Amino acid sequence: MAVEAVDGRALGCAARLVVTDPRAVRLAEIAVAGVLREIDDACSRFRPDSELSRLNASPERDVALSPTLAAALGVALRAARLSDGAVDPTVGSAVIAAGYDRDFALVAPDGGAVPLAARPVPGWRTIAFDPGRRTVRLPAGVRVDLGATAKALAADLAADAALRAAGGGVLVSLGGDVAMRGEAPAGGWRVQVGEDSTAPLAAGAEAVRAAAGGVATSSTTVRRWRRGGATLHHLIDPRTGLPAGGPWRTVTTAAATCVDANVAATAAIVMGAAAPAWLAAAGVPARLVDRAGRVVRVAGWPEAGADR
Amino acid sequence: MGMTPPTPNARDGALRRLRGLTIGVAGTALGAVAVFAAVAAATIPGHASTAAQATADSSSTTTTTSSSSTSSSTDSGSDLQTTTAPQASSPSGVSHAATGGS
Repeated sequence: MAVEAVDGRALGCAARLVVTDPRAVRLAEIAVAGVLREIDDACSRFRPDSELSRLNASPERDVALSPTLAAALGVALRAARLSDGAVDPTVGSAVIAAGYDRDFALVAPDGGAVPLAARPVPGWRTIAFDPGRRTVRLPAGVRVDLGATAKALAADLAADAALRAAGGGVLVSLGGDVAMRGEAPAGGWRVQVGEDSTAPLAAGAEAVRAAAGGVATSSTTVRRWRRGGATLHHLIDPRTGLPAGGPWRTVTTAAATCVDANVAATAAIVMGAAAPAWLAAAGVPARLVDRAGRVVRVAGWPEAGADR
Repeated sequence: MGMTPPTPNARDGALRRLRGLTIGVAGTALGAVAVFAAVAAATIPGHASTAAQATADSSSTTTTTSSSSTSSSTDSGSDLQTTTAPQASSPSGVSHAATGGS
């Protein structure tokens, strides 16, 4: 089955749309663009005019949310609950303190030391979210960062929208967060698995095949910077408010949705040594790469190699 | 053909029977409405408004965005929504997409 792919950039990362009906690619592209625009308008922490930025600037008062931000916040809080707080949207101040305070393209790759102290983040339970009224109240000092879940949510929503617009089968990848919907190509969607989603698609690279759902990766090997000689990265451990320092540098998972794959991958990085058992108990197929490059596969994640 | 005027007692009795009949009909009608409503609720699926769908449950991630009406299939639950494990892929082909850190 022939497929058509469109590449671009969105939400600060590479974006790719693939459809199985090349005649419908433009319709799918328009649908995806609409979703990504809405997510960016609502959830960007770098745009001062985003709804999230306005929310973070309005502590200790009930703030009415758009349906999009309410949905994204609901997803983030669900992620926190399912991961027992390992994926927590109240890491906003911690990630800024670590130096990631603007669009990553503008973050200096090296710089002087930043004062970092181990201190738990406020915690997702401090967010008073009323989904029925679509209002939220943040305590003073709490900054919400939806970076752990909003991109995966965008991939899911964009794939849903593309499928409605184009039919057939669709795949949306946003910075390596992959959502697949509809009728997959013969043999399934091929997803190259690595530590950098911007790596060129190449024959010979490790890959898996999936028919639908989501595949996502969290990694400490990208989106890194140095301050005072120390290497920092964007995955904050809510227990310390510092970049996670466990044994895993990259985790890739598959789930029914891209959001849930992403939650599992990020939680695994933060959980550290406990992650394989947690993933296995949750039934989430995963591929974990430790700091030395050794690969551990759980819950049926396949060995690299020939088709089976 | 002539009619005999009713006595006061006969007229009061007739009014009482009429009132009882009215109450009975009204009660039966209310009961029928309740039955029809229950049957309709059970057989005709309804749906919430888009806003309500997006926020009906903080544990739910079924979402509808404001203008594009996109709904996520990231349905909620108390557990991560799992899927069958992906299959290994032959190294000879080129992938549709890449996953990795970003």
